Amino acid sequence: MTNSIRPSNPQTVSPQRYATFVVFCLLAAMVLEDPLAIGGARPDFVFVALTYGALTWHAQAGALLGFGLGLFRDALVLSHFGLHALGMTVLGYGLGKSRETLYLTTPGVDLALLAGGKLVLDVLILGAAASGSWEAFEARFFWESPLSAAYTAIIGGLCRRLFLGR
Amino acid sequence: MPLLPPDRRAEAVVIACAAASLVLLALPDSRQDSLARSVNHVVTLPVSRVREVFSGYLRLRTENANLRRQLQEARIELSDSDIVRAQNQELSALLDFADHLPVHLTAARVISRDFATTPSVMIVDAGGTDNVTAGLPVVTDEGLVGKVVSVGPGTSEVMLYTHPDFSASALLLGGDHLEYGIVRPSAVGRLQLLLPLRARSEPGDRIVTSGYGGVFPRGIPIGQVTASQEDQRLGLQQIDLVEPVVDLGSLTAVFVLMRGSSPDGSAGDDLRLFWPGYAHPPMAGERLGGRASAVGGDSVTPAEADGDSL
Repeated sequence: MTNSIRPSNPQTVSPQRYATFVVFCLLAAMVLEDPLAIGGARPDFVFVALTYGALTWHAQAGALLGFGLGLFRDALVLSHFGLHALGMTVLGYGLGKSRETLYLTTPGVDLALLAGGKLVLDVLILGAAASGSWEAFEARFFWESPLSAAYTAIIGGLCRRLFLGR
Repeated sequence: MPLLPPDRRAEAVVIACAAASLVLLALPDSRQDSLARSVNHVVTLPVSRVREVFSGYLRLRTENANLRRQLQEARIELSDSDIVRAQNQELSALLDFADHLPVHLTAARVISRDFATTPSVMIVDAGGTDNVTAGLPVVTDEGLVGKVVSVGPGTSEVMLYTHPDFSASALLLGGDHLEYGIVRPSAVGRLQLLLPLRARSEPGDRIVTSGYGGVFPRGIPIGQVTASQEDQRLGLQQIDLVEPVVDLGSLTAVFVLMRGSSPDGSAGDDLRLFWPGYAHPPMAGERLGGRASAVGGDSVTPAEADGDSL
């Protein structure tokens, strides 16, 4: 028996609409992320897709989505193949679990989860990529990650309003 | 019995996925790189194809626009060069003509005309300041255009040979005879030559001004006979249809024939002009086909000029 408190207002996004949203996010990750970059900060459309998928279908689906979308991101990055898959699997699971346990389901909470999740993902990715070098980690993390997380949350909010209608 | 309880499936999935990720991460760099590139190729292929097609379309569109612009410019240049070439030929002919005619000519450009089907008047940019006066003949290197009817300081109004009030004393140059008559405008830009009934004329006979009447000197080409017919109303005269030598529709520059500027100081009955392709019309008492007397030092006989024998 679980102690989690189920949300009072469960997500009602249809799989078809979410699939469309994922396709848009994948295309945007390939085409729009570089043009939309401001300094070192860039929106992470793949993580946006993962977050709303995990928040909609919870931990198990979040983990599977995270693995698939992480492989996609790894294929785009072309280094440390499997690192994004690992990080996003964990985060997909975590985001799904948070939805299962958190009572609040407001858009603001979703955006906070999105920004926080992106920040955690950057910690995982940059930490692993830095291979234990604190200088290498802080050189990127403190300059890019908070802004990228905020940027991703803003873009994610817009995408959610445009595609998911919530 | 299920392998895992339902509330542990998520954990099992995340562990499996994480394990798979770790396996991928543990692969040798070269294997990892080739795997990443393969997946990257599969993932980005549709987008790169679309991007190629789109960028190709944009490039072709830009190239098409540039080529269209270049074609337009080339057409304009070609058109300009054609116009310039035509103007050059026309002005060269006029200059050559002015150099060879033994009278003073004032060149003028056509600056306005009526745009009726058959124009009857036009304005030229030579006027009183150029010593142009009313009544002076207006010609081109091809022949008679009309005469000046009113003069302003810098412009003059020219009555064209198509004007209903226009008439000129004319001389028909037959094969072995001359006929005198009057040229008047007919319908649709043509002329008609009124001759006595006994007169002989044939299609192709040339018509020049006769020099009688005091306006036009003798020898300005007017046109060629195209047909002869009898006056249907009275039967008292012969009417020849005349095709004018000057096309008024394409006229851009003319000459005003200045009075009293010929070498002998006259521009009346006793002045005979040599026109390219035309013989000096013989004066009264002279035999047609005989050697014409030259007016001015540079005049030549018709036979010497163009082999035309009259």
